[in-house]
Amino acid sequence: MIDQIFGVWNYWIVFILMMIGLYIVISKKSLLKKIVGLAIFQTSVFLLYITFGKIAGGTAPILTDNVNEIYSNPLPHVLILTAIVVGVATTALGLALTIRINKAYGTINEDEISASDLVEYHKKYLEDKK
Amino acid sequence: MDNIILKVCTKVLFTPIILFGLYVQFHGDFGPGGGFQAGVIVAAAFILYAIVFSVEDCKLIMPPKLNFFLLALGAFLYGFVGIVGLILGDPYLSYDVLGSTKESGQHIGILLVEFGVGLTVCNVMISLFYSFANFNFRRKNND
Amino acid sequence: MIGEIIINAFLVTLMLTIAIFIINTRKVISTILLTGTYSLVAALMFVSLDAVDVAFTEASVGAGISTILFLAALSYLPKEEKKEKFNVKHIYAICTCTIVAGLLIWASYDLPLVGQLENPVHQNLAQDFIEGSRNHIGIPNVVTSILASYRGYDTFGETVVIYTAGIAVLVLLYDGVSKTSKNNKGKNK
Repeated sequence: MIDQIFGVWNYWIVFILMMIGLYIVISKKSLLKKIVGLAIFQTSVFLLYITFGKIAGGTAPILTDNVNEIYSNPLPHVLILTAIVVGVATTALGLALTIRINKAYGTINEDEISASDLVEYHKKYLEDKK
Repeated sequence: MDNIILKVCTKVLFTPIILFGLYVQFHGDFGPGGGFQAGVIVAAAFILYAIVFSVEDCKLIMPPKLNFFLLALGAFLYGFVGIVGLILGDPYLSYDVLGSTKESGQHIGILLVEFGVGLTVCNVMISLFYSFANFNFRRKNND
Repeated sequence: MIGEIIINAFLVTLMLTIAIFIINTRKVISTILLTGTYSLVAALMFVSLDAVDVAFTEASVGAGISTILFLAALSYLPKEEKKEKFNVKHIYAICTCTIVAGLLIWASYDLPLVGQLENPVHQNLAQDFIEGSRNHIGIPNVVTSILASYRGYDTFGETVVIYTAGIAVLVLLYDGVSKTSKNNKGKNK
């Protein structure tokens, strides 16, 4: 019984964390908060991959002299290792874009950005009509 | 920042952090570690220095021009190791021919490649911090 | 076994709590610090799942550098979010997320149980990599040998991606710096 619960427990938590990240990305208006939501989503996917690689009773994949040792699957570890560093690089890119947007519009609130875009568009339209 | 304790602690800690980074870099074959982690740790030493003293002081010990050069050199080193193998008659990025035996060739190749990764990651992180710290917010877009 | 389950459950609950708190904080600084904590707990989770290299990276990159970058960016951004009223859009978002979470959890019964040796993931390449790392490459850390040798192309691509992202951030934030320094020089003359 307890094995059954432990067997799917990690998946459930990963999915719930994923959906919390998605909720932040969908519903929050602040661009910075959206980047944080993406980071949460990302970490939950990392957790999913590492969970796939786990073997109960195994050790970390660093070879020892014991021939009968069971090692966890090292392949997901490699994929995620590089993904984490790429993730921070893309986060930095997102932050740079946010700073640029804040400089151009004076706000990082999504609604206010699209509102000021709309105002600009109508101003241009009226000028063209004249 | 004008806190004498922070300044002295940073001066004491700066070298051991870089030493630890190098340990992680070159001990990555035998324990947890490797280019990605080592690059970040070494970058953390420079960022600590830049936070406690100032970005201008940090630019004296890591000038932006050197930073850009090393940034490109790391990725270049990675590709170059592959090309050397290609010239010596092996598939791209397979390191068998780099040493006298296959095993030593693999060792040399992995060491060089990890060093390239470490250089790139370290310098990307430092240049990210520089560009975030130096961004001039007040200036208008039009002038 | 039972100890492992308790540690796992504790860390997972901590992650959930932090994630739920992140939704509702409006002060940006506490959002950023909570994100750093979240990464740190995730690193502990990776250690308990036998991924030491990943834990090392997550602790240094996710909890260290990305927090610093967020804080550096915060100095140019508003320190507090605007208050939002709870409206229909939030209900749509909650409904979407709940439905997708329900579907995923339903699908999770078709996934193999965690930690079984006979799972499909462990059947194909992993054993070859471990044996090859012992006999052909001679490096004890299997992760390093896969990272640099077996999947060298992959890592090369990732390095180039990091390089490109670094250059892109420089381009996005650089022109202000160069122009002001030129202006200052002009003023000094």
